[in-house]
Amino acid sequence: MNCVLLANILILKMQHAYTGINMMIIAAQILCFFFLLWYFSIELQTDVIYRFMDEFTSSKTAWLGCFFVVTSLWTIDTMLHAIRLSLAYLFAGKNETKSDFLKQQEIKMSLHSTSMYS
Amino acid sequence: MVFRDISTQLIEVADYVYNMQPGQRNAMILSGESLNIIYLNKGLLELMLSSTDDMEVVIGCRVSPKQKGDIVALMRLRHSNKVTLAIGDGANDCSMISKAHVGVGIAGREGMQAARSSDFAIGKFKFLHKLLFLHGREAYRRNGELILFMFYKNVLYVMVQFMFGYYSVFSGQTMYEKWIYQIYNVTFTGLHNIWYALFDFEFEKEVFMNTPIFYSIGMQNTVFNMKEFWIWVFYACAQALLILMVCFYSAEDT
Repeated sequence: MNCVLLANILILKMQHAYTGINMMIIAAQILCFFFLLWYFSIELQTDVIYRFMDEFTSSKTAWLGCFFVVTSLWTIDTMLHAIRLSLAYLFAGKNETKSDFLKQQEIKMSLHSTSMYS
Repeated sequence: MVFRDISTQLIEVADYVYNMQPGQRNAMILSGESLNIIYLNKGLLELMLSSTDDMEVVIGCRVSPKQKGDIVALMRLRHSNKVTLAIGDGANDCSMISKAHVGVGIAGREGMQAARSSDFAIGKFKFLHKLLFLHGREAYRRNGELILFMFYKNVLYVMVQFMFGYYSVFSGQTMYEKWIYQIYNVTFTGLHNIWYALFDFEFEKEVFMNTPIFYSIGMQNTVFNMKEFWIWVFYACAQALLILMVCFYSAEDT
């Protein structure tokens, strides 16, 4: 479940045009997983998944774990971005690529700070 | 006589380029007749190419259709890691358009030959700005990011199972149900990729058109390269480890 959540929320995070339809598609994909899990947990009586849905939904630690894994998207991403920016600033001016990267980051930050595109 | 003139001029240019100040911007104009002579002599060709490397722009005038194509082919050969783009509106540009990585044809007054032999056909020259700065840039970014995302989601998925092997003594026990394996890529994580590839724009159109520096991501290949690939793989591995730990320790008391 965590893989499905992570993959869906990551692509939602990657998107820039939040039109509502894309969010509905992502919500449908996540809900589809829960629906299938519920369906198979009552249908596949001979399988290990039988009655798993009840056990899973009743576990608070499992839900907290999901929340922790999903929030890791922001923490790891922020860490990587910070490292990348620090390295770019450290080597700024050495070649054209990095200075262009920094210029773009600065323009992006200025665009986001005006909250026009965020 | 002509040969000697051209060689003298090229040596002068090479000397000028060698003594050029850093950041100095220069242009070079080559005529079709000169190119004919330069092509016949390897030494002159090398001298010309080494001089043009440091030029901001090189203009070819009175060149034949074949020579246009040859220039593109020569550039592709010399700078194999660069992407070439050729744009033209007439039948005399077909050779150049077909030899470049990206060929853009303008359909209009001079016929449809250029548009037919091109990768992208536009109606007017002014649309090139939008084609490159908006659609080209965004298509490259979306494609690059989606390819990396595809790797990410599959590495994330498989690495959990791989790491689970340490707990199951590599007995072949699976962590997921078989139906999850079968529909993960199609049903759970498939549809939004189509949406992303078609409709996602990083900024509004005016921003792209007025900020040329955003176009440089394609020229410098900053979105999809080996470094980015390994960053995404690292990202997926770290999260796979986290998922495994969370699944094990959160389900300990159940």
